[in-house]
Amino acid sequence: MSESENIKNIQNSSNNPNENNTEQLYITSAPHITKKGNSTRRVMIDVLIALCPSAIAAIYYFGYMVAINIVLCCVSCFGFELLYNCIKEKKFDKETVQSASVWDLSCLVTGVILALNLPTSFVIWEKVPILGMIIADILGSLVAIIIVKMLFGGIGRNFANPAAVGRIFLFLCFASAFKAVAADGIGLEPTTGATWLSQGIADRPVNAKQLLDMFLGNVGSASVGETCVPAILLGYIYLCIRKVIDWKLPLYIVGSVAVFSLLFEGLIVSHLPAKELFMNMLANILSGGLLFGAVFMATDYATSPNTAIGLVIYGIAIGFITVLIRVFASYPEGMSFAIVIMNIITPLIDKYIYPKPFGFVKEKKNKNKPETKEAAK
Amino acid sequence: MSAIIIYIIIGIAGGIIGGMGMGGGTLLIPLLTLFTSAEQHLAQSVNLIAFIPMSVVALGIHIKNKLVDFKYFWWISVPAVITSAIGAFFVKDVQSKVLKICFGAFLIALGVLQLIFIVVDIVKKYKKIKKNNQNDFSKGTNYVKIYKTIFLGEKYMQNTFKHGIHPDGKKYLSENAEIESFPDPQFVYIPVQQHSGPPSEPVVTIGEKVKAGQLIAKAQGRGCNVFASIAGVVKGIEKRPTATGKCDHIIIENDFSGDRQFFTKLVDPSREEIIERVTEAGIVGMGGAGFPVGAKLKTDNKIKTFIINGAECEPYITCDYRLMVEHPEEIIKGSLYLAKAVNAENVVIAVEDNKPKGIDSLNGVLSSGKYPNVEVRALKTKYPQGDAKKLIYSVTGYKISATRRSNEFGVLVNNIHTAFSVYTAIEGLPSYSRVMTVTGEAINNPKNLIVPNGTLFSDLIDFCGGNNGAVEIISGGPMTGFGVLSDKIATTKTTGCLLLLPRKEAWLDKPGPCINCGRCARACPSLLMPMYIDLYYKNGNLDLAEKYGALHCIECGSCAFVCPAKRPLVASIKQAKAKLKERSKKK
Ligand code: SF4
Ligand code: SF4
Repeated sequence: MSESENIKNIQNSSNNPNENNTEQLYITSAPHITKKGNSTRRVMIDVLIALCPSAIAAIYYFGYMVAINIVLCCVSCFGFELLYNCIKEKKFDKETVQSASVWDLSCLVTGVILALNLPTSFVIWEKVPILGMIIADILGSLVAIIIVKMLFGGIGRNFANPAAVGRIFLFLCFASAFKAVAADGIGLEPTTGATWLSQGIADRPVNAKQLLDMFLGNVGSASVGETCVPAILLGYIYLCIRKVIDWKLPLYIVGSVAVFSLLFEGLIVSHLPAKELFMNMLANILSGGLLFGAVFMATDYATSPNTAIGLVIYGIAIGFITVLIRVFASYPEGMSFAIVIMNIITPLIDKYIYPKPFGFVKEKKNKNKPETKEAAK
Repeated sequence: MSAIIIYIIIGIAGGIIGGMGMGGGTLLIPLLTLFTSAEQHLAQSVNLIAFIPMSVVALGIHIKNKLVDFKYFWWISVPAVITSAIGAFFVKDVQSKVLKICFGAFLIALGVLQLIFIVVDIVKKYKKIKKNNQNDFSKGTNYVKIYKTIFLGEKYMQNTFKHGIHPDGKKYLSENAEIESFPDPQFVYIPVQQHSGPPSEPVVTIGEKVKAGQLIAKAQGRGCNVFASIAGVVKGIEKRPTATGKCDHIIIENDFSGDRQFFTKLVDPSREEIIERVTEAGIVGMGGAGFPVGAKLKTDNKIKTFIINGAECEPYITCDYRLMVEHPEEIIKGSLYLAKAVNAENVVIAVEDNKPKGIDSLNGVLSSGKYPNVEVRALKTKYPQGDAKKLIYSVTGYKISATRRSNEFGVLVNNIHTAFSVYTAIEGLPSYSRVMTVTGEAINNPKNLIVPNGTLFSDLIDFCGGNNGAVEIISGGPMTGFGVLSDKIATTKTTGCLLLLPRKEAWLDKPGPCINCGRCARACPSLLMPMYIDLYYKNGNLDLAEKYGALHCIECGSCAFVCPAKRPLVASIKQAKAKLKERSKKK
């Protein structure tokens, strides 16, 4: 059972070399055709396209630094993956580079998502503020690509979403540098830097105007990509149309956040009138990178379950954990943590929840069993 | 500024819901009172004003779609105008809060009422379906069928299955090419094994003169007779490669005498006579599996429905379609013979709905009323609709796993070409030729041909205008066929298609690592998890491969077709299956 026996076996034949219009013949295993325009790279390009609106909105709101971040993260993710490939092969020639796994572009997706998950200012050293940014980008990419992705076997084998882990790593290392910054806004009155979520749960009434600001992204935020909801929705619609992600998963997450936040906040701050609880629920959905995480991070292939029921559990659990962290730990980072926790639990879900084959009948009920035994003899 | 944007968003939401006919007011009024400072009175009047342009536009669209019935226009609008004037007159004195509560209560009552209606409706339908299908449910209640009927209506009830894929059909290449006879070639190489089962034993000697239709190899065990496909002289018996392996071939050189030797024609045959003739004439399932039909008909189970498989779901192939269009009467008669052989009550000819001409042609014959027990059923076009178990599910609703036999459920399936061959066998013709499609972008003139068994692929390719840059020659369809390395391979009773794929169409990409996207699992009609079977088989963990369903794979190829990483899933699942079977035999 060697590996070569298992791969789609392409053998060349030199049977008809002398006829003019005959090409070399190949022999492959069935099926002999495959879906057109369908490749890992195409999938990744789709995700990149879907990320474009959010990236543009982020640059528009938070300034050129975001663009620098995106480029830096992409370059370093690409570089690290290439480097890893070369070191693993112990060769640094053109061929290794050409056959490296970077060309499926999944590293760029990680890079962009990571960049959109960072704040604009990342001050580690007061005198040269930009240095902190560069260090953060490179460090985050290193953790995301090398530790989370490549060391676990590359694409499809990462145990958690690389970008989410990268962000959490940076957050834990430089928590104080993770300051929310005000957006420049689009002609509306700029708001204060503090995010809604970081205020105490009891005293953060929202009004419709604030909600609208949250919807448009006109608020301060600790990560740049998550603020502009219309841009995220555009990306979501694109991904759904291209059938890259399961359209139901983000809805599960948002739905469960809505239900649980209503429930918990209703229990804790029960003096609030129903209308305000409802508004708070909307604010919960619109803030803290929930939508961005639900659309772009929770849907990561490698770390989400592959069955319909598994997806329901996964989505609802993410929402539940997010609300738990937000309400009881008053930690605005709830979403990334929830995603990573559920990423790690996903293999368990896939282990216990798998579909029954078509027409499957349990052994006990199977009347044929004696017959099959006889046939086996 | 921000208030305006809120109004715009509310307007968009109200417009969409209102245009769908669910009443924009039900959404508009709560939104206005919740998110803006509007009073209930104001909200309601805004709603009424907004309603005018909205309803005009919506009405225009509905009229265009012919959804408006003007019969009751006056009867509804006159009283409505009068009472609404009265209502508006009174409402100005009512307090805003009271109004709000009334409106809420009204909405709740409406919702509850709708819910009750829906539940009552479902219960009624459920009872009705259960009553109508008393017999079908003797094997236990088929809830899926019931729910499908309730929620999707009768039309969608049974004509499809879960998952599956929609590959590009490519039937246009050959679907309008009428069936032609392929002129007898100089040499034929007839394999002694053209069926599933032990190879047949040659009964001719080298140098012997044979006629077309003469028995040249006799069935062994549960095997099948093989007949000479042309008249001529036996030149030798030689081991040669076939598309799937290697076996003895009987080589006959054509003497162009055209001598033929047939059976006698049976008139109004009895059940036993049909089975005997089908066995004698060496008919196998022509869809590809090659199971001897005679053995299939000798079933002890009581058969209720005989399904004739005309789905022809694989891309490119059109031979069954041409048969339907050109020989509908023969197909129907043949299927009735098959049904008679097992005492089946009715015959369903299942055809995918991308072949309207084929369906029309069959229905044209049925409309004469001569064949009351035969029904043509149009199925949704989806691959692999033609797989026996999926077809049974689509037609009858029985879920039969790939590891079980369908006759326990009172259903038998046979291919449409088989029905045609049964008809010709009753007429006296042994099974030594078949209709084949020679197609693909790399062949110059795609054709549907009647080909004698044992013809070399190279002869067929030459006849169809020659090879135009093929990188793959495939015996069978693109999804399940076998690639061959040389065109010196002979056709058999089960070769329905010869496909030449150019570089542009063929799948030559190298596989990448699995990205765990789950598309294969979402495409698999057997509801398996191909990526895990592949993964665990390669890790050498057969138990887990079995857990994720390796033994239930029907080898349809849907999973590999949709895989973005281009993983050869089917190849490894096939191997896993073989290993698992080997293991269970050892035990
Ligand atoms: S696993 Fe088997 S049955 Fe499922 S799609 Fe793949 S080949 Fe078809
Ligand atoms: S479709 Fe291919 S890449 Fe996706 S999970 Fe299946 S095997 Fe993996």
